[in-house]
This record gives sequence, C-alpha cells and structure tokens, in this order.
Amino acid sequence: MANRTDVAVTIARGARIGVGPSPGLTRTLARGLTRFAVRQPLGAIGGLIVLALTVTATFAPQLAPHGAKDAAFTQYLAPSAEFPMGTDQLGRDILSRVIWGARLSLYVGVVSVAVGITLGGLCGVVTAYFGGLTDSASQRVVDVLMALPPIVLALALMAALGQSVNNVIIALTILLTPTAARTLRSVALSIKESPYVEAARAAGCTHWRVIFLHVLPNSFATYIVLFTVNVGYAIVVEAALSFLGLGAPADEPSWGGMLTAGTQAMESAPWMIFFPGLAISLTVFGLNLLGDAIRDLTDPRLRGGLG
Amino acid sequence: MRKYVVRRLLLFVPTLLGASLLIFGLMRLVPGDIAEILVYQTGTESSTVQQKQIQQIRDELGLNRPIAVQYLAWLGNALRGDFGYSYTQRRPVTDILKERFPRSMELAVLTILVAVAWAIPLGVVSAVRQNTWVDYLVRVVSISGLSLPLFFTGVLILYGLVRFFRWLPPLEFVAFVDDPVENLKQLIWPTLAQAYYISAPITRLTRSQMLEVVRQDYVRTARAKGLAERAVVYRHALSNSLLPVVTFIGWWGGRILGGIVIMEIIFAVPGMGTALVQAVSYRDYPTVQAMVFVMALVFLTINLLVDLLYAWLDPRIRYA
Amino acid sequence: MRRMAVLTLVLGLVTGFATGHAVAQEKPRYGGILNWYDYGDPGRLDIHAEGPLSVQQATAGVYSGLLHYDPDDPTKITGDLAERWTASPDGKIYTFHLRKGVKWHDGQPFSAADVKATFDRILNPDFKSPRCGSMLKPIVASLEVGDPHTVQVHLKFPAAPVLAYLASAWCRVVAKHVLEKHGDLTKPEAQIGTGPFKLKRYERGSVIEWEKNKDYFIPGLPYLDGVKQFVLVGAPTQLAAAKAGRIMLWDTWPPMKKTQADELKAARGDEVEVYQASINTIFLIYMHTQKPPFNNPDMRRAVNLAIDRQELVAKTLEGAGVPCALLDPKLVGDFALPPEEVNKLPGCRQPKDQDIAEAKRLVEKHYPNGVDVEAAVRSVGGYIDRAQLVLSQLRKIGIRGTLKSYESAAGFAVYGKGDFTFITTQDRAMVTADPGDIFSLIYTTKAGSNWGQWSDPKVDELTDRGLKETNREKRKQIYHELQRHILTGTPSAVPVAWVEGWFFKDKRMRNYNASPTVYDHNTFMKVWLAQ
Repeated sequence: MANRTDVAVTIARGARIGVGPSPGLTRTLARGLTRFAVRQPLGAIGGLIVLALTVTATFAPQLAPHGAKDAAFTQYLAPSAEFPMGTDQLGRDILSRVIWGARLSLYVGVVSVAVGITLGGLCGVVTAYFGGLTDSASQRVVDVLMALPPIVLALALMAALGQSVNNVIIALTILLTPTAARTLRSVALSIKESPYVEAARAAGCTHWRVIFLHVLPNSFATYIVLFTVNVGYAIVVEAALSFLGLGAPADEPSWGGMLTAGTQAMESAPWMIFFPGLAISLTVFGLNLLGDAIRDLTDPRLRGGLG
Repeated sequence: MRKYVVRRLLLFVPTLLGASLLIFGLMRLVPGDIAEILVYQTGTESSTVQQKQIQQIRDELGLNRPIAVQYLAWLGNALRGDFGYSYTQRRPVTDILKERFPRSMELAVLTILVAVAWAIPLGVVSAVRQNTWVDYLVRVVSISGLSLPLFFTGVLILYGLVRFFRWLPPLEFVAFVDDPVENLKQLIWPTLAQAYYISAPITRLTRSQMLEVVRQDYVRTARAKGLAERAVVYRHALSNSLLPVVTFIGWWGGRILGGIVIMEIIFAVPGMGTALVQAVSYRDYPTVQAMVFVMALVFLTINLLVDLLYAWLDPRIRYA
Repeated sequence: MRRMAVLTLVLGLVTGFATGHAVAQEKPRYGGILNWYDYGDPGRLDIHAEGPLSVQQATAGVYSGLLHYDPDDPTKITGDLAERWTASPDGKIYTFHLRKGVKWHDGQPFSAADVKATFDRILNPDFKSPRCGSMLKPIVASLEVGDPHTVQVHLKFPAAPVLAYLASAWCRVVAKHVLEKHGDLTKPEAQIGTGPFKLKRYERGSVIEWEKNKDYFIPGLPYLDGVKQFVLVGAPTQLAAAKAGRIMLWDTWPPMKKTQADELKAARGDEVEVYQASINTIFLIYMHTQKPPFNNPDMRRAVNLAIDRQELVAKTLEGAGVPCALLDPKLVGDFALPPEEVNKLPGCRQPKDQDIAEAKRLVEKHYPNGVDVEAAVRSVGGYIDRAQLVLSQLRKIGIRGTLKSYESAAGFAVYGKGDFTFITTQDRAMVTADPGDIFSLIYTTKAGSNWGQWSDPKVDELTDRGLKETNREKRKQIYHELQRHILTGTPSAVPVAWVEGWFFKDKRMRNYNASPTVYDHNTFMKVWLAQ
C-alpha cells in the first residue's frame, strides 16, 4: 500500500544506497505511481485525463490550428480533414475552440477553486481550532452564504460585476468558499481532538505551530479531494450560467458557451454540441475519478476490504 | 434537547436577517432598476417623457427613499407576513409564493426520493464489493451523472423524446392534486435528470460511510454471532452509516429549490426558480427578497429537522 | 397553329376555373383548438400600459379596436367596432359610426361611452402608455361622444398616420365599467373585451387559454373553439414543441433560424409549411455621438462605410434580411427608396474595397494607431453572433472592439442612460406599417430610441412635415428626402438590414395571413382548421 511514509522511506533508502538522488527518485516515483495505478485503476485513468487536459491547456497556442475567435471559414461545416471537429454557426474551427477552451476551463476552474477553497479552508480550520466566539460568528456567515441558493447568488453576482472571465472566477470563488469552510472546519475539529495534537500542546507548541504543523497537513488530503471535485463543479456551473445568458462572454471559447450555442442546431450540426460536451464530461469525469481515488487512498478509514 | 432546538431556532434569526440583508445589498449593487428597464425597454416615448416616467415609477414604488429606510420598511412588513407587491406583476408577492412554492417543492421532493432510491443501494453495493468491477462500474455510472451540465442532460432528454418517440411531456402544468398522472408525466423527466446529477455525492458518501462502519467492533460482533452476511450488512451497517448521508441529503435538499431553475425552464414548469430568475432580471426587488427569504428558511428548517433526526436515530449523539 | 393556341387557352381557362372554384369552395370548418406559444410570461395583462409582445399576444383575441387590419388581407385597414367613418374636410376631425348590438364578454352592452373611457385613459398625461399612448398623444387632442353610437376624434393637426395608429393592435377598446370596477387591466378578471375570444384561463408561467365568444358581433365567427398559448421560455423547448407537433405555428419572437427551420422540415415535412417572412424589425448599430471616438463624424462615417451589411445578412441572418434599406419596400411600398438606388450608396455597394480603404483612411487620420472601443451587446441569442462579426469587420479598419455583454432586460437601461460607446447590434420593431414610425422612434432628437443622442434639425423638420402631410405624393417625396439625408450622412444609428426570419404553420390552418407588423395578425378571428 503506497502511502507517504513508504515513499519517504524508499527515497531515503535510495539516497543511502548512493545511486544518487535523481535516478533513485525517478525510479521510486515511477514505482509509487505504478502502485497507485494498480491499486486505483479508476484513479489512474482520471489522472491521465487530467494530465491530458493540463497539457492541452498549457500548449494551446501550439496545438490549436486556428485562433479561438477566427470567424473566417464556412459556417456549419461537418467534421472533415481540414476541420476535424467541424465549424460552428460563425464559421469558427471547433477543434481550436475546444483546445483554447481547455485553457479557459482550467484557468477558471483552478483559480476559482484554489482561491475559494484555500480562503474558505483556512477560515474553517483556524476558526475551528480557536473555537469560541470567532467560530460561532464565522459559522453564521457561512450559514448565510449557504442559505442563499447558489444559482441566484451566482446570477446576482454576475449581473452586479458584469460579464467577463475574471468575474466568473470571482462569482465561482464566492460560491465555493462557504462549503470549503464548513468541510475543512469539521476535519479540523476532529483533528483538534486527536491525541497527537494534545501531545503537541502538552509539549508546549503554540497554537499556530499546531495549526501549521499538525492540523493543516492532516487536512491536506481533504483539501486535494475537494480541489479536484470542485474544479469539475466550477466548469459545470459556468456552463449553467452561460445557458442562462450570464456566463463568460460568448465569444470566449468556453465549453459551456459552446454547448449552449450548440443546442440551437442539435440535429443539423450535432458536432457543435458533441465535441464540447465530450470535453466537459471527460474533464469532469476524470477530475472526479482522481478525487475519488485520492480520497480512497488517504482516508485511513477506508483501507483494506471487507473480506 | 429542548434547549438545543430553541437555540437552533433562535439562530435562524441572525441567519435569515443576514441572508435578506445580503441579497438586498447585492440587488442594489446590480445596475439598473425596474423603472429604467420598463421605460427604456419599449423606448418609444420621447426622452423628456421617459425621464419623467422613470421618476414617477420610482416614486410609486418607493425607490427614491434612502436605502436603509427601504430595507427596514421591507423587514417590518415581512415580519408581519406582508412581502409587498411584485413590480412586474403588480400583485402581492405572497400570491406568487403560494402558487410557485408547492410546485418547486414537489419537484424537489420527487428528485430527492428518486435520487435516494437509486443512489443509496448503489453505494451499498459499491462498498460491499469494494475494488471489484462492480465497484468500478457503479462509480463510473454515478460520476457520469455529475459530468454533464444539467441543462445539457435536460436538452438531450427533450431531444431524444422528440426524435425517437415524437412525444413531448405536457407543456402546461397540472397540479398533482388535480391530475396526478398528467402532473407526473411532466415532472418525471426533470426529476430523472436532476436525480441522476445529484446521485453521485450520495453514492460516494454512502459507500465511504459503509466502508468505515463495517470495520467497527459491533459489526464484527454481529458477524461473529453467525448472522448471514447480508443481514449484517443491511441491518447493522446501513442504518448506522445512513446518518451522515441523511445530513448531506438534508443540506443538499435545502438548497435544491434555487437550483431547479434550469430544469424548470427546459421542461416548462412554472416554479420558484423561473420566477426568481425573472425577478432578478427585471430587478423586481420584493419578489427576489421574498423568494430568497423562503428558500433560506426552507434550508435552515430542513437542516434542523435532519439534525434532530440524526440525534433521534443515533442514541450516542447528545446535544448539550 | 391558331386553333391549337385557342384550344390550349380554352383548356387552361377551364382547368383554372375548375381548380379555383374548388379552392374557393373549401368551406370553413368549425371547431378545433389552435395551439401555439408565448415566448415570455406576460405578467401583467394591461394592453394599454404594457409594451412587450408577450402581453399583446396574450390578449389579442380578447379585444377589438375602432379599426383593425383586415384579417383576410392585413395590408388593409378596415372597421372593427366602427362600421364606417368620415373625415372632416380639414382632416382634423374623424367621425366613427360604431356598430350596434355589440356586447362585452360579461353581457353588458357596448357603446360610445366605452370608447371615450378608453381614450380618456390612454390620452391622460399621467398614464404611462408606451405603445398606444406614445402614438396617439402627440396627434390626438381629444375624443368626444356624439350619440351612443358615434365618436369623434379631434386631432391637433391633420395627421397622415391617424388611421394606422387607431388600427394598431395596441389601441384596443376596453370597457368603461371594467375600468371603474378594477381600476386597471392587470388582472385576468379584468380582461373583458368585445373580441372573438374570451380569456378562459391564465395559469401564470404556464398557459394562456382563450375560448370562443359565442356572442361575437360578427355572426358565424370565430371558427375556432379556442386558442391555447403555452408559455415556453427556453429555446430548446420551443423547437422541441414545434417538432413534436405540440404547437401549430411559430408566430412570435424571435423567428426560427434556418437550421431550426430545416430541422423542423425534416421532422414534420408534409404536415407543416415553413416560410420566410419579415417582422418589420430593423437591425441597427448605434454609436454615441457625445463620447469619443464617435463624437467625431468622420469616425461615424468610417463605421458606416466599413460595415458589410450583405455579409451580416448572409452569415448571421442566414440570408433572411433586406440589407442597407432605411425603409423596406416590402413593408411600406414606394415610400421606400428603390433598392437599386440604396444598394449603390457608399457603405452598401459591393465590392467594398473602395469603401473600406476610405474608412481606413478616416480612422488613421484621427487615430494613426487605431482605437480601442468598448462594444455593448445584450445577451440574447442571435445578437452575440452578430456582435462578433461586426467587431471582426471593424477590426479591418483599425477599430478594435472588446465585447461587453449585458443582461437582456437590464441592457436597455444601459442603452437608455447612454452608458455605452458603441452598440454592436440592437433590433427595433416597428409598431405600425407607417413610414414615419422609424424616424420618430430612432432618428429625431427627442426620439425614445435615439440612444446615441444624435441631433440633426433637418431630420426633426422632415419627420414633423411627414407626419403632417396628408397628400400621399408629397409625403413620399418628404420620406425619400429624409432617407437620402440619413443614408448619406453620419447618423448615430446605422441601419444594417430589415430582419426576416423563418416561421411555420400547420398545414391544417386556413386563412392565416401575415401582416406587416408582428402585432397585427394574432387575433385568429377568421382562422379555421381543416381536417
């Protein structure tokens, strides 16, 4: 069973044997990854998908044959050698837009989730640890934010901020923060009661040391899982917003926007909806598989089987 | 226990106040108001007349008063059950609520019932057969529900029904009490789409809870007593692992009222979601305030009920 | 040879007569419910006080006007509640003789007092009436009752479009006793009219149902038992309803796109007739004349020259549109400048090389490195596509636009307040078929939709003269001069094209005739359903 201790020990052993850090590290990483793949095949598939997404997003300028907004071609062309995914209602190459869309989706998803979960998570952890009035007060704030229906909150935010990619990120961040705060707070609460934290406090560690050295690292697994799952959620929420007319501006190659435009021509130009739909579902699917697998691995309660 | 309930009920107050204040402020930050929209949308009157009309509408609706006064006036009335008049429909908002709330609630309840009926058994199966192909299949199927945007699933369903069956669900809403069959013919489709979407977290949670619970002592004891494996699983493990799932469903169920809007639009269900989105669009402040208030109240109430249910089911939980 | 010709002629005549006779003999069938849809929930059912098409659609068949567009031939104005009318020699007083024996839907008798109450309401300066009121208030001084079946409309000056305005679907006659009882027409219970249909049921957000008025004042009408409108807000749902046969016609906003029309034909080919029609709506580009860069007339001329109207019609309207025209000959006949003349004007002529070069030169003169502009658009279906194409056309001459989209409803507030520099696309629908409409709506200094705040005294003067000129030939000359002035000038609103679209109707529908505006053919008074 690959866990952090195993890997750490293996690395240390490799270093001691004197093979040198680089080849030893690579080999142990490779071994760790293979063990992961065998142990969690679904997670490995998810990981591959996420990797493909990241590569596509990073190398979009090199990979995409055309710009995302080039409308110079014939409209509604079926997939062909020249346009492997066809063209849309303005004559733009769908393959290019899907590739650029990967960058946009990843950018929107990662930034909003990173900021939202980090902010929310930190809040949750810190207030849980200190408890008392700050905890109650912040829990009321979280309650208020969670009591508001998310779609309405997102709509009102987009209407107030104006439609742009960055404002979509802001709206999504605000949506995600309260849930992260709540989840990580409960994780932190359970860690707070655990024996080694008690021991650390007894040994004289300050509160902040305890937080940073004990509580945060043990919340890390939850953080990673929340992260992967919510990037998928962010992508899907952005798609919903564009259906309601308040997502990213429609000339941007957002997969959700492309999906909405494609619903206008489902029979006459099904490629308009098929490829962005495939992109979204594969991405969210992969992210969730990966998140699930990491959760299975790192949650100490879930190791082993029933037999 | 009673003290706990009272304390929780008291906590409703700051939360509802906070939520209403937040949405009030947010709606005022959104550019444009109903007066401008009404007048400029048709854009036929001369510019001088337009200015006069905008001021007139604002005076009629009390939009020229200071913001604090507007909020306090609304709050005062709301506490007496008077949510004011809709700016666009010119009728009491409570009438709109009375019409729309039952429909959205029906959709929400149906969705949760279907989702739970489908997702929990799947989660159990997945846990019992952890890391086998059954587990993988269940996880793939349930995650695929999450992976498609909800509107897309809805549009696909609509398209599929038309293309392959030349049939559409009823387009006019009939209440369940008037004609259950017609009602369900319309509502079953958004229910299925939405249930498929939310089943993944429920399956996942059920599975992880089951996996945790079956390692515990009392389960081992039950097995040692010689009961059939199945009985062990279903009777002891399931009932105890359900509690966090119930909490999750409660949390999720409380929020569903707002999230149904897309299904309502696609399947022509005149519920709170569509009314709320339209109200936001037209800056119909009274309607937005009232609906958000009701949705927040529902969310808090369901959460409280679920927590109480939790305490009642698990005697180990004690609320101070 | 000659005998053959005569024989063919006789045979042709006989066949033609036989078929024509057979068609004319198709007798209207009674019964059936017509299903269609409303694109938005009307909310408030007050035909005098509201502006959107969704409200007019919901109440069209319930009311009658003094005049209306003939359902058999909607280009003609005929009497509705008025049997006949006369005009005074100076053209300032119109006397309408009302039908006798007309009853309101609640059984009360109709009389001139109801017409007076209606007009008093609409003409009241404190009453907001964006459609009928804005048309009538500038020209009508008052309405007086003669005897219980005669009314006289007193005009402020002899106004050419008065009959067109009175025939408009927005200027319907409502009951005095209903106004007294309910105060306004917001509620469904207040929808008491004299029209061919009664309002049977209004389930908000879901459906609007009309039922046949058995006591309608034209005996034998209507043929239909009722009309049902589903409220369908989502575009995919509207198309699905059409393909599944749940709706029998598409006669609302927006029209279908070509891809949707093709899909519908594929799904229901022999059951429906798909056709292209105009919706008396013009696609405009707006520039704000009080802000840079478009406060500079050269820049406005540059945009005018650079916009490729034909490409916009071909790509974003899928060919369904009349490019360049300020008045559409299909809608206003010879009041419009002849297309041959319009299509040769700078900005319209193809190929565009010369115009684009000139436009580039104008931009470079003031902005050698080009200029960045914020381009507004409302988030409504086809508009976003149009906006992108417009911006790509402007990029060619050095104007770099960034798209800023606004919500559908609140976007109007932005436009009305002038919080924009450039509006990439916005359609304006004409309420009547009168040629003066577009100028008083968009181009005069005080026009309600003159969002770019353009002021040209000559336009104001010509529009005013056109309103008051009763001689048709002279009126035509005025509007020709007005069109030329605007098309060759530097207006803030550039006409791109008159918008057309695709519609369909079930083949069983008979006697459904399209009118020039979107508002005037939805009473279904004389429509019937064949087997």
